[in-house]
Amino acid sequence: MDGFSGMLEALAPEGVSLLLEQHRPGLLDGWCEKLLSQPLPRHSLWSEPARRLERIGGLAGWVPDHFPLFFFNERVLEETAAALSARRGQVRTETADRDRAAALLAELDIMHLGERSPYTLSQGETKLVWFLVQYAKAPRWLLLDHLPSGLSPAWQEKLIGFIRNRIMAADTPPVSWVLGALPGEEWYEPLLAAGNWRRITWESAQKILGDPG
Amino acid sequence: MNDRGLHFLTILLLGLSASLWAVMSAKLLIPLFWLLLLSGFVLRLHPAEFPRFLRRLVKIGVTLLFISLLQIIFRRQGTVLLQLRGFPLIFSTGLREAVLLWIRFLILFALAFIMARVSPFHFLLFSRKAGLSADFSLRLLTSLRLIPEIYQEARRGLWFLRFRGIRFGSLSLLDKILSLRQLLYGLLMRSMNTLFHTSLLLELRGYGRRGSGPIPLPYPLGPADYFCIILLLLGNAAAFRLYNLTY
Repeated sequence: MDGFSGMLEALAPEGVSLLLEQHRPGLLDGWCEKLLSQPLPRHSLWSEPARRLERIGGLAGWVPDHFPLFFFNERVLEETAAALSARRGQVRTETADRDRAAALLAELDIMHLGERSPYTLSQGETKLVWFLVQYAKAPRWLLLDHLPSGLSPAWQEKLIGFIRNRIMAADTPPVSWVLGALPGEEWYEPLLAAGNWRRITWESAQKILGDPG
Repeated sequence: MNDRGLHFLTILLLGLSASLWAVMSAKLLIPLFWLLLLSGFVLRLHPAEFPRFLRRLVKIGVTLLFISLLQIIFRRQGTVLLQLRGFPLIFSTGLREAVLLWIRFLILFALAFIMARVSPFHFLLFSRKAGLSADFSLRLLTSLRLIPEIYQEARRGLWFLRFRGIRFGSLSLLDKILSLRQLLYGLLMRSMNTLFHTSLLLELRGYGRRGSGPIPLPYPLGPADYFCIILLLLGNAAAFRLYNLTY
């Protein structure tokens, strides 16, 4: 297990999800960005850091708020199916992947986006689609810096409902959710009631996460 | 020298002179002279960036070293300079061609380095002064600006491809090709988005609007430019004299 996964394991072991109380949005994103994306420009894309990224990519999903996203397929449905096939280590999708992708889109109530190009979506739609793509990878941890950012109250509710259902359904393999929240917010209350959560302030988490800086 | 650096015309004349003599002369002296002149320009114009210039050079130097070794091995003309147990290893022509290759490449590299540091706005001013239409100038500028952007996007795309969690080493050739196709699709879409936003920003700033002069600023030659142009003329004259003497 590498440093990134090791730190997450220490904070959110199997079966435990984490609520990070940040004093401002972007702290978790900043940590991920520094640890995951910045080391690469200094190294070749075929070097050990690149292979490490493959390993981390298989273990963790990340839904950033202000990080330009890159999609590889013409349609949202195909992009989600590709994430499902990536879980098996394959590039080509199968009918079962597309069916499962359609089911996931329907569960999040974004089936109407299935035939759209990911590059024509609004900010909120992009966030929902990217969330689903990351979830479809079946990661060990799924990190969201600030769930409500960029989403209307109705979509926030749908996304929270989706996560709640997934926790209640006891996903196999289990996902440890790592969600950032701001002081005074209450949107996460339905989630806390659903699973085994650990609440921790960003300052306390930093003692384990360190300063990638 | 003022804050804007040298005029683009001066840099263009420098580039034309250096590359012309580097191609024309098969002897070492003249290209070497232009290389030294260009190195002087790099040092004078961008002294702080000189270590970076050298670092980049070292990175590409390995490939160049391999090519020059091939030149030395396979160009078997001229006098034998080195032999091993009677077998001729290095010929004079091969060695000269290998050194010339290095000099020509270094000239190109130094020129690219100097030109890459001209601000896009000054390039735009120059193209307008050169009589190019505002539309064409802006298109040219947008295209030139897109090249490093595409490079960054390609790196970003590879990052995301890896973050999917697939082990690329274990993929079949067909799957690797498929991944490349997917990467190119993303690259195309993101580049289109960048172009769209750039053109929108240019329009919002009023560039290309009919009936209005989009670039009202003057762009005259400065004292440093006159000095450099005189230096270039003298350099060309000296190179011409040397060329006549050696051929």
